[in-house]
Amino acid sequence: MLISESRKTNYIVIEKDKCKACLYCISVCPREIIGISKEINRFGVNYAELIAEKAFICTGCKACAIMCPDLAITIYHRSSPDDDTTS
Amino acid sequence: MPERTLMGGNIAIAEGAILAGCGAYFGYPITPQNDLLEHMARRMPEEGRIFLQTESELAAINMVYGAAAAGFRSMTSTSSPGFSLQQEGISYMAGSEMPAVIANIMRAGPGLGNIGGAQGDYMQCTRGGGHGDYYLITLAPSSVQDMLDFTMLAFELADKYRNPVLVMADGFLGQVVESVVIRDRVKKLPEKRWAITGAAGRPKNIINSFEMNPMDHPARIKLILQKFERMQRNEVRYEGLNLEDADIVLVAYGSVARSAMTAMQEARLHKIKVGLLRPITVLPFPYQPLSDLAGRGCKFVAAEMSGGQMVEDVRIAVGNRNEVKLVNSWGGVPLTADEIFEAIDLLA
Amino acid sequence: MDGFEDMIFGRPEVMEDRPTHFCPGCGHGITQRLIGEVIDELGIQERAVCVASIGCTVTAYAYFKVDGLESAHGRAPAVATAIKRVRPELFPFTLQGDGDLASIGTAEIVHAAARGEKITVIFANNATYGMTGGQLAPTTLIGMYSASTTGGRTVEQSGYPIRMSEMLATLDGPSYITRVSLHNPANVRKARKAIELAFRAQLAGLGLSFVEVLSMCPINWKVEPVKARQWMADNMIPQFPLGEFKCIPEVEALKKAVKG
Repeated sequence: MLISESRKTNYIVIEKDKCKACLYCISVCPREIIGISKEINRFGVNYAELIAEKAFICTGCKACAIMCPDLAITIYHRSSPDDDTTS
Repeated sequence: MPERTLMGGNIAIAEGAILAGCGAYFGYPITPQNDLLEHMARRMPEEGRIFLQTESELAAINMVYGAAAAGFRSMTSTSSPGFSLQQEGISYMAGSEMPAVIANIMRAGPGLGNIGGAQGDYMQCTRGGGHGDYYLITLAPSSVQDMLDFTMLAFELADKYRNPVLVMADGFLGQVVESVVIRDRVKKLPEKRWAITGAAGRPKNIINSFEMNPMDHPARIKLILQKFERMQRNEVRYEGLNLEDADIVLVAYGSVARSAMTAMQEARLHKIKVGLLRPITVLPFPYQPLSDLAGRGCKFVAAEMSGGQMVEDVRIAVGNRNEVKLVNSWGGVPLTADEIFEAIDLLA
Repeated sequence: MDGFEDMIFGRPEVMEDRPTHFCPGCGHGITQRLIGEVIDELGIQERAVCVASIGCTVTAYAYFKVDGLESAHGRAPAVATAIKRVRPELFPFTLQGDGDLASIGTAEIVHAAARGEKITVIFANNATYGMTGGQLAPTTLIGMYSASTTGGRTVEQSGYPIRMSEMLATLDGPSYITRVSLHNPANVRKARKAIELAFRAQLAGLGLSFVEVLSMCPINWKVEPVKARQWMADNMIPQFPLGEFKCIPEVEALKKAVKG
């Protein structure tokens, strides 16, 4: 079952100009939803970037943000109003 | 009538600090100032204040910095070898503009030297023993009363300029016992809004001597340089005796100034017009009065317990206008009034 | 679907919103965030004091919205000692590297620990001198490259790496001494709990709390960040075993309060 159909969704936001491309997030994401951008940021590196089409399968495990040394990743959890359980 | 009592020199520094509201003392044993540390070990807790004997002079000076950063009047006392270990810490305090008092009870050097009183740390105490562009105010007591008064003054000046201040005495003066007037306690200590007290209801306070952007650093140093200009303008202190008609001027500080006084009186008996200029602040040094006396044609005798260090400041003031003679002892041997008198006699 | 949206992971409130000066993959960035999370968790922003040291952590105070100050190389435990003694209500913590703490500052940490000073010391062990370009540190592994042991550290030349946690655990003063690692999310979570427990120990007025954090320094190890994590796990953990080396009963009792 694709998580997207469940009422609970999580998504991560990577702040492009804080990422130094250490790529820890990519190496720990269980769903491999983070890739490397073709663009470069102000550090002149190809920064880590959420792969758009895989965004919805984020489980909200926070591994990426926990490993990020630069506080570049913020994670949000959206649950619909009639959702009885909150993660 | 103010209370008068007998007190040793080192003890007078300790009591002066307590009267000045010193809230934290950190020290390490080193002769000839152990009795100062021991006295503080007993008295500071009595006053409800902080005392700690540390693992080294390095730790002591950095604890003085920590307590000063937290807004407390704080001090350490040491002697020459320990004072050498504290130079980096003093430089950090000057660089981050922290007020603090250091007492250096000098002994003979270099190296282990011996525990006899000496003045061989003069350059280290007046040219900045630590790294970088910074200046202290260095006070040179000559009596046990001075030891008390100058320590109180040191705390005033430290807060006035947000800068470390050094009380520089020698081992003899530290051990001498004399009658002393106990001054009134300082009632109100200056408010220190810059201090580390916890960022509650205000932006955070940062105390450092570093600028992330190198272009900002010169501006910080400029503040320190301007501060020294103010010290030179406002804080030069010296005592002049019989200078009005003097042909020969003795220049001596600390305990040597006492022997010089005896030699001056001896010379006056021999109808030699001798005066004494006693620097109280050896930093900033009283160049101007000496220069004025040189302009009047006086000759000079610098008397000190070192290989010849303060004499260089006298030469700076006098230039090549007149003769500047040095009479000195070293290695922990006191300089006597007779030796000073002989030097005067030769010059007369 | 207009469900409400809550942030489940973000910058701790106490941390400044600014990029850090650390190199890509540097463990200090993680350690600082963990400290920020703990300060938020315990609500001590108005009492915390960041006592920085000399090394890559030299401007740690720039990243926290708390009072902070610099300290000379190796002297942070002495500075923190003085602050805690004159203002016991404050909450000094030091953030020091292995050069600062295990080399020039050994006397200060040993005596602060022996006196049981009520401060918290966070010791980042990355087996190198980061700021100055990767020279030999007291924790550099045998055979490990460094800018000043180009052929790799040898026992004959530079002796053995120091296990600070074990050494300090022989002292009676400390209340809590542990070593954690940042090499993967699970261990970063443990590190977060350890740092929180250490801070709780200080809150409870207990003796020195000490957390040694094995920390990546990819640039000086000359290993890409992602490989550096594995390298650390494979090489540093055997030399610096993880775990608690001291935990007095009062700290043990605090564990149930730890959120992590």
